[in-house]
Amino acid sequence: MDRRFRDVIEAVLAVDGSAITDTDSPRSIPQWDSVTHLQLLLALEDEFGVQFSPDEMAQLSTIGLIRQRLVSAGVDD
Amino acid sequence: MTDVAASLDPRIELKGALKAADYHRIARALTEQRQAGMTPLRMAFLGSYSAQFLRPFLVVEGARRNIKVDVHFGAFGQFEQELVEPASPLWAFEPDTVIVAMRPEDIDIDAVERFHASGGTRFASLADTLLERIAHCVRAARSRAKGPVLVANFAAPAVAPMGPFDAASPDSLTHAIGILNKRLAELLKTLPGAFLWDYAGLVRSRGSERWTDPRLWALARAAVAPEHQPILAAHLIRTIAATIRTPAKCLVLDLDNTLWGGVIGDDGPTGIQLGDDFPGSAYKHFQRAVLGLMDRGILLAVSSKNNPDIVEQTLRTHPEMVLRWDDFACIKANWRSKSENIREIAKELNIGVDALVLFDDNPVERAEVRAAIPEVGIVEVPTDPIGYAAALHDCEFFDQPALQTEDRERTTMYRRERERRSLAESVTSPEEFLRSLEMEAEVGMANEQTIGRIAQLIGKTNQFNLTTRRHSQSEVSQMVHHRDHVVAWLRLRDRFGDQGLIVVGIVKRRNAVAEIDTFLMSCRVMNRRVEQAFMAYLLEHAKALGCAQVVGAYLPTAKNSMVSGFYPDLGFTPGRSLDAGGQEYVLDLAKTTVEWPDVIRRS
Repeated sequence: MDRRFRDVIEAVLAVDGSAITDTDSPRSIPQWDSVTHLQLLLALEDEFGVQFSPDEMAQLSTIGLIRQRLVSAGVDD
Repeated sequence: MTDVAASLDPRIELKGALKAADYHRIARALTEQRQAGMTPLRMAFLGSYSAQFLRPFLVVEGARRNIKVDVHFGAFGQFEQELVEPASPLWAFEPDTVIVAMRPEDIDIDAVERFHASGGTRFASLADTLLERIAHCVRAARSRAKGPVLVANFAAPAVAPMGPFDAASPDSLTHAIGILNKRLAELLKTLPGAFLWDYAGLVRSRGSERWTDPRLWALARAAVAPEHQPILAAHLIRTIAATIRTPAKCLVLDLDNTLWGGVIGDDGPTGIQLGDDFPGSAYKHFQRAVLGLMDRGILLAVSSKNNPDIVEQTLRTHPEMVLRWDDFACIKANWRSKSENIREIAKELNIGVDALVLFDDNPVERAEVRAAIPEVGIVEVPTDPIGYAAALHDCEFFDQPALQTEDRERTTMYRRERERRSLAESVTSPEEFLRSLEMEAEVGMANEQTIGRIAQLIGKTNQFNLTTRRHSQSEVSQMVHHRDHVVAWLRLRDRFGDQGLIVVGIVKRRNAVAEIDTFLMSCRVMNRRVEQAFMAYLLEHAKALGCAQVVGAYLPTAKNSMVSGFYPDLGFTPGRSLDAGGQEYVLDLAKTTVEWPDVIRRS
C-alpha cells in the first residue's frame, strides 16, 4: 500500500510523496485545504476501493489517521 | 504511474482506465509544461454549486482534444455580482469562455421540493427568474469575454415530488422543467454568442439517481458525484470545442468488414454478412447510424480497395443495403492507396482534407492515412462490428452546435452535381440517357389529396397541354365523382429527386368511345416518354370502362405547338377536323395500344 498511498498523496496534494509522514496535516501542508482534502479522500477511495462515511471524511485530518483507516479496511500495509 | 502522453492520445478510451489520482497527476504535468500547438482556453465556470472538484478532469479532457484549459471557478452564489464588476477576480482571470451552470433547487429549494405547496406557481416564477438572470449573465459575460458563453440547462431531480407518477400529470415538476428547458433553448437562440450545454441530457444519460454523491453535497455543496466528474468534464469540453471548431463535412467509409461483413470480391453479393440476423444486423445498425449523419448534412464517400463493378452492383441492388449508391457524394472503388483516394475525394467535393473523417475497420489502412494526411479525422473503430454505431456516435468530428436548413440539403446538392457530371461524361445514346435517369412513376386516380394540385396544373399549364380546357377545382371535383369520367395523375421520381405530380389526364366515356378531354404535362419532364407511360395508363382505364375506341383532340393555341404531333407519335390516326385548326385523333383499342415504356419503372 505504501507506495500507492504516497503516489496518490503526491498526485493530489502536489508534495513529495516520499517525504510524507504520519504527522502531516493541513497545518504542515499549505495546499491541503477543504477541497484538496476531499479530493485526496476521493482519490484514495478510487485507488483502494474503499468508501469513507461523511463523518470519517470530516475527521480523517492527518496522514496517520488516513493510513490507519485504510489499514483497518483491510488495505495491505 | 501512467504515461502522460499515452493517456492523452484521443484514440485511447479513458473511461475507467484512469484513476482519480492519475487525472491529478496528468493535469499538473500539463499545467507545468508548455503545450506547443494546443489551443489555449481560459474558462470561467460559474455555478450555483461547488465545481472545483472538476479542475483536473477539465484539464485532462481539454488536452485530449488539443485544448489547454485554464479554469477559474466563480464563488458560488456570488458570480452574478462578479460578472458586472470589472475589478472582480473573474475578470482579472480574463476568461475566453464563460460557463453558467445553475440548478433550480440551488436558487429556490422549496420551489422544487415543495412543488405542490403552491400548485407549481412558485416554480413558474422561479423559471421566469432563472431565464431573466441567465439573459443578464450572458449579456454581461459577452460584453467582456471574446469567446462563447455556455449555459447549462436544467436536470430533473432524481426523485420527483410525485415519484414514479410525476410524469403522468401535465402540471408536474417533470413537465415544468421540460418547458423551462425549451424556453431556455429559445432564449439562447436570441442571444449572440450563447450556446446551450445539455447538462440535463448528460444527467439523464448517466442516470440521475447516482448523479449526486450525498456525502459530497453535504460536505462541500458539490453536485456531481466523483464517478461522473470525468464524464461531465469530457461532455463540457466537447460542447465548448464544438462552438469554436469547424465540424468535418464528409465521412469516408470503407466497405468490406465496415459496411458489411466479409469481402465482396471473394464472397460475392450474396455471401456478405448484412441483414437482420447477427452478425449482419450489426452492419445494418451501423449503416443506419451513417444514414443519421447524412440526414444532418454530412456527405458520404467511399474509399475501398475493390472491384468498381461489384461495388456499384452491390450498392445499387443488394436488398439489405440501407445506404444506397445515390447516398454517396463520391465513390472510389479501386486498388490505389486509401490516402490517394482520400485526396481525390477532397478534390472532387471541393473541400479540404481536414473536412474528411475516415471510418475503416482496418488499423493498417487507418495508420496509412494518418501518416500520409495527418489532417484527416480518423475514427478508432472497435474490432467487434457491434460497436461500430457507438463509435460513430461518440466521435466528435461532426459535432455542430446548431443545424441549418442548407445542411440538410447539402447531400442532395452534391449528389445532383455528381450525377449530372457523370451523366454528361458517360451517356452515349438517348436510350442510355433515359435509362440512367432511373425514372419511377406512380399513377393514380384523383382524390381529395391530389385535386388541388390537379386544378392548379389545369389552370397554369400552357405548352404541353392538348386542349387547354381550364376546368375549375369544383368542376374537376364533379368529374372525379362521375362514374363515367376518369381524372388521373402521374407522379415522377428520378435519380435527381422527386418531380412531384406533373401529368394530368381526364377521360370521359360516351357509349363505347373514350374521349380524352384533357392531357397535360409539366414541360420539365419532356422527352422522357413520361407522356407515353401516362397514355398507356389512360388506355387501361378506357378498356376498363368498356370502350373500343379512344378519341383525343389537339386544339392549337399560341403556346402549345410543341404537342401538335403528340397523337400521331403515339400511333393515333387523324379523325375529324375541328374548328380553329383543331384536329381529332382516333385509336382503335382492338388493333393498337400504347405500351408502358420500359425506361420508366411503374411503382
